[in-house]
Amino acid sequence: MKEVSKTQFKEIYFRLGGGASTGWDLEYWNTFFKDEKIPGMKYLIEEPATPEHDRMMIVTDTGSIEYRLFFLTEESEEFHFEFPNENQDKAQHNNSLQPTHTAHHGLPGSSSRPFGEPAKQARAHVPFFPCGQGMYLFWAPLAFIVASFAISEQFPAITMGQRFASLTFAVDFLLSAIVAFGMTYHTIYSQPCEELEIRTGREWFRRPTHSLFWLRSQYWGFGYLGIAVAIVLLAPAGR
Amino acid sequence: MVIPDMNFRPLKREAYLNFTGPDPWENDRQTTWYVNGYQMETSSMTPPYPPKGIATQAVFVGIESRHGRYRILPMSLQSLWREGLLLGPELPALLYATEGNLTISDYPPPFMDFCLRMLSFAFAAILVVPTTALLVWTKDFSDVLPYAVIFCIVLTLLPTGILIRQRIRLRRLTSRYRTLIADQGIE
Repeated sequence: MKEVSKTQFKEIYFRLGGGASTGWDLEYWNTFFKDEKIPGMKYLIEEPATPEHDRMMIVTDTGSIEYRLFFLTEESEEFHFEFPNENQDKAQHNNSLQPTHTAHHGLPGSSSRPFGEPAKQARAHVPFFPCGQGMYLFWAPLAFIVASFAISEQFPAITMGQRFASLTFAVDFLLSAIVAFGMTYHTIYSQPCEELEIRTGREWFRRPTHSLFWLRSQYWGFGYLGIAVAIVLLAPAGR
Repeated sequence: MVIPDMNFRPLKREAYLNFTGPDPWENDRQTTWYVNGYQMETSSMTPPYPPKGIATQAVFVGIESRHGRYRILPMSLQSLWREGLLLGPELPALLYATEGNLTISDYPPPFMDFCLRMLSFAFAAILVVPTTALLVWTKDFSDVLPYAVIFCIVLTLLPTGILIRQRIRLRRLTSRYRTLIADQGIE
């Protein structure tokens, strides 16, 4: 690697970086390199050895106080981001307890390796749409309504001349409320378990949650109960 | 009924930085940390990577230890990272110190802001129709239109309220992180 001036470094950056298609564009330059965040940084470059070396990389090494610009091939780029193995990490730990801060400005726009297996097997907790067994909160009233229609079709004698037609719905929602409260009971009396929130990577000890459309099962239970009571109160008498 | 898969998973796209430092979640054991750029994907959708990388809001910044444990930064911390106020090595301690107070709304899914804004505008536009009708044909629909107007106002206020709440929380958290960084109250 040879040391160059910032102007030469900039010239190489824009000439061989690939521009907006690779992400090495003016905006990226302005964000990371225009203003010297650490005074006295040296600029080192290593020009591409072959035409295949077309993946520009920049390493910001605050330990050596230098930027290193070099080029990789597509194949070698994949190995570049391999994580160190266990032995390397221990050796690093033993040799240098003082943290070394090395910034890899990896090739923007390139695909890196998939992230490692999560440390703990756990399920997602996302409060959007169904969470846990929250879909039963949706299916329960539908299933009960369909079942009650089926029963009234099969056994018409039961429904004749009564308020049954209206009250059937009340019973359906009452049963749905029982299902929802049962799910709440399961939530309250379950042991907290370690859970990985996949979207954020946070790990929690908490009880399982059953929710649908942002609302937890207990609120659905009260909602269904309210509908059942409303139907009973509003249903015309004698029908 | 088809419900879209909203279980977002971070897909690592870029490595910005690595450093050796303590892992506060593992009794400050020294480990190698990586600061990465992630995109959120679902089982049905993997978005194309934006060429501008970190400059776009579609890229989420997160940290990952050598063991593959990752943590996406809350939006407030991401904005500070984008502003260049953070060097990187302070991120694990900073996140660890505040993680207990963070809620899922501090990690809004991609384009949440945009969607809420669009919903607010859409419902506000819809609100114009019954309001105009109420003013012009009051006599004909006077029994129905007030309810329609109230319904539309509620629909408009819901996404707007969520949006405002998120903005306030983002501002508070950002200022809290700024204070923490300024005071160097974290190690």
